[in-house]
Amino acid sequence: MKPPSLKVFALTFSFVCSLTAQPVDDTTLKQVIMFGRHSVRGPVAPNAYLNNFSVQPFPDFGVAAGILTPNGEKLETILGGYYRQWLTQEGLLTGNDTADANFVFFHANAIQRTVDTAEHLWTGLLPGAPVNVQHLTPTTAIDPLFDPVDAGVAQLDSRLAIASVIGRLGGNPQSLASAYAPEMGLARSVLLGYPGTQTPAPATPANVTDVTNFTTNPIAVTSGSPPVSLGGLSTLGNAIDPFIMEYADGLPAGWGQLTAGGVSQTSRITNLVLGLEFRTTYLARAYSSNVASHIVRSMVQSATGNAMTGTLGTTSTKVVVLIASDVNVCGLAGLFHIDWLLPGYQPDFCAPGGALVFQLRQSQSTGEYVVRAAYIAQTMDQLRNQTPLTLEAPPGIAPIFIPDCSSANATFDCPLAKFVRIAKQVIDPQAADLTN
Amino acid sequence: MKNHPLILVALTLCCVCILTAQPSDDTQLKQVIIFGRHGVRTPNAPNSTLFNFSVQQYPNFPDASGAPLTGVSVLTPNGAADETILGGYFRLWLTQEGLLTSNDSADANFVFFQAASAPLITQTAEAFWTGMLPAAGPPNIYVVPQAQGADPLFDPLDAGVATLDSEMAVAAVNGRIGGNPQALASAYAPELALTRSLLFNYPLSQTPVPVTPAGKEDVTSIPFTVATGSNTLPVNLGGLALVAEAIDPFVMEYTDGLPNAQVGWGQLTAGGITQIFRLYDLLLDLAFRTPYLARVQSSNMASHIVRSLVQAATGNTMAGALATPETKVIVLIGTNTNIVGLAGLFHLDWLLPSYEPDVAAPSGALMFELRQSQSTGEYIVRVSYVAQTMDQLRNRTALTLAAPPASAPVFVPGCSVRNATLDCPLGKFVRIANQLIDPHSADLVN
Repeated sequence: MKPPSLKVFALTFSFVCSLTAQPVDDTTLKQVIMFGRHSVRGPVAPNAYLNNFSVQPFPDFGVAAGILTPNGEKLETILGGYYRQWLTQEGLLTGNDTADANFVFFHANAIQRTVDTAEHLWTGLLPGAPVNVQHLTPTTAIDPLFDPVDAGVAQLDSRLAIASVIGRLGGNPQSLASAYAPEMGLARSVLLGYPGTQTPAPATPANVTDVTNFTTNPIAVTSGSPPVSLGGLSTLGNAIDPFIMEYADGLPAGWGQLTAGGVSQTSRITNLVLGLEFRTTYLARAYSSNVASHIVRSMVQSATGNAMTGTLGTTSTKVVVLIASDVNVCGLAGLFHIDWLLPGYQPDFCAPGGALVFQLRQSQSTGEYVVRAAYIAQTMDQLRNQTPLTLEAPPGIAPIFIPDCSSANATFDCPLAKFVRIAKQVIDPQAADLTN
Repeated sequence: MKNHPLILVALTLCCVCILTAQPSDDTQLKQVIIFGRHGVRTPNAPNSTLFNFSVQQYPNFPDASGAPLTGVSVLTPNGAADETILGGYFRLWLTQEGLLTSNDSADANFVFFQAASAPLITQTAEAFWTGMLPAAGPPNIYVVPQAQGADPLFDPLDAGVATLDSEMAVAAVNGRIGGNPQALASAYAPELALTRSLLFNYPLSQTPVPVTPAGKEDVTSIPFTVATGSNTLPVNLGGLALVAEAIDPFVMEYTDGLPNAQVGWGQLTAGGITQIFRLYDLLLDLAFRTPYLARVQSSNMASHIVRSLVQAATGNTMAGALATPETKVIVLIGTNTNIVGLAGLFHLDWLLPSYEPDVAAPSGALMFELRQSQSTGEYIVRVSYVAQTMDQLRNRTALTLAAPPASAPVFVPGCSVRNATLDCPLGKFVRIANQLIDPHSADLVN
């Protein structure tokens, strides 16, 4: 299970460590790995369940729970079209889609919304080539890249998982209710249908469950839905999850009570849940080491041209696309301690269709390889309006500084050898496999 | 400058790495390091400056006679009283733990205090000493002599122990926010709106918002930037720094016990202060918790803390440690930037009732307990964050073992085990510290 060969590559590449900020970018793109979230979907919980939490019924997205919406499909194709333009400009795609498809590797988690997202991204990226997305079947299959714990690749000590989360909260998760009081208040006013400024806030109607009442449903860290259950906070997370999807799908958000800014503010609760469950260091190591290992090894494979175990695609693969969920993207970010911010969103938010994008680039003058990371996503309004994307009107792009690796140039280039070295520090080899 | 000896110690101590959760706590406290922030103070900017940002005058803080305190960044009498109360709590707790004996003069021989040189901070340390060792005579606080320059523990940049690459600092911060600092203004729009309504004295619900009053500066509209900073604030965050300056007094108004009408001009509840302070927390997070900045600015403190724990465990004097192997209580008093930075270096988080996550409250402290198992001899480090709640500060609530300050056990990533106190084996702690500390940003001076 250990990837000892990475050490060899680290040594092989150690001559490239002297990269410093350069006035002119003389690098060419050799490979790109996109690790994205599915696009706009219906709420994961059925409306029949969500309607317990609101005075008005949740809107109908026209799809079953957790299924990608028709707008989500369109949005993903728009995004794929942008990547097509960008990768053509970068010389990775040629315009001959059938030929290019041989150098493109798509892998999606087994569930409908991730497979469908990948297929529509493909359609935008390579419209002239038959869609070819690798994924496990049936939809309930456990993919070791995206759920290594259930797949048996990584072991989770559930008591340590609880300790690692509760030890970020002073052993008192209930204190989150006051720390996030403004967001709790906003969520309650939307769900129960009164102005956020109304004081005193009205009582909860008899037939509604107030998901911000943490006296009846305390915020607590227990073993449960993987990796930990957060009690009342998990329930609240479910209840507010539809808002961003409503906005992005073009529906009124929060029954018309939420502006884009209000949706963004409620998403702090989503960020809180994901931050605790997937960015917490121990949990990020358990859940994200395998995908991190595969990403890093794929770049090394591409740079050296030598086939390696534990990689994605082949030595000649130019575009690797992985589509999964926000938990996966947030987890990988937590593992490397990377942050981003796109206009309109909260920091580190994993937007519908958004992706961590890792470019493997080579300097034309020195031959050095660098990794250039960015987070790319359509803004909330680009999603809502299905805005066409071009090189002049791109999606939101946040260049990312990789701690202990990036240099100070504008694109925060991170020498490949250094990236391998920090990856070895943050990846738990016991939680990664060498399966291709 | 390299910490080779620590590697040896890590090897020496690796027999203790197998510590697992134990049903009963058979450990004994051997040493405690309390790394605290100064107490409640007057604002960092004079009221005449702050009044450029608000339509109402900021309130004065009273001195002992009730007259206005003059001067910025001055420990208030109430702040000193709170600090002595906290020191008194630690006296009770450390006596219960057997580290103090009630013979203050004798105990003082095993106690080491060091404070950053600002009067605010040395006076905080003195007030804390007074609570902890009331009969030991005048407080004995080590402050780096002025002739020697800046304190390398609290200000390693000015002291020349650490060097900040300012381009790298700007990149490290920009690369957390997509190179677009102004996007923070929309991400934090609710807090900026609250700030503006407070400063210009109109209801938050008022739309459209009123224009900026004549002669006033709207700190919430000044662009956020990330630019080369100074040794005080390692990156220049533009408008965010001014916002922080304007809102900084509110928590002090509340915790000093000013009348309600003088806390945010009567418009801010404790919850409102907490929310508005997210903007200050953001500034601290960007400038001090960002991994590159935490490494440069907090490695020396981290190195001294770790080496002091090892020195106490082994009984052998070590370079780069504080005090002596016999020292039982080490108290270090600095600022929130120091505490937030050290927490960032180790990726530590905490949450106390009434505060936002990771807030370094007035008087609050990160505490490192060195404990030894009585059955196995193993050493562990137990980390917590301890602070009076906002109301305990405001009311100068008496603290006892039965009515303690708020305390958050802290999980040390990569080290803590899963028991209730999240114990972290010393050998493992040394190992992760070696990974996180930049040896070029630490010295081996005692």
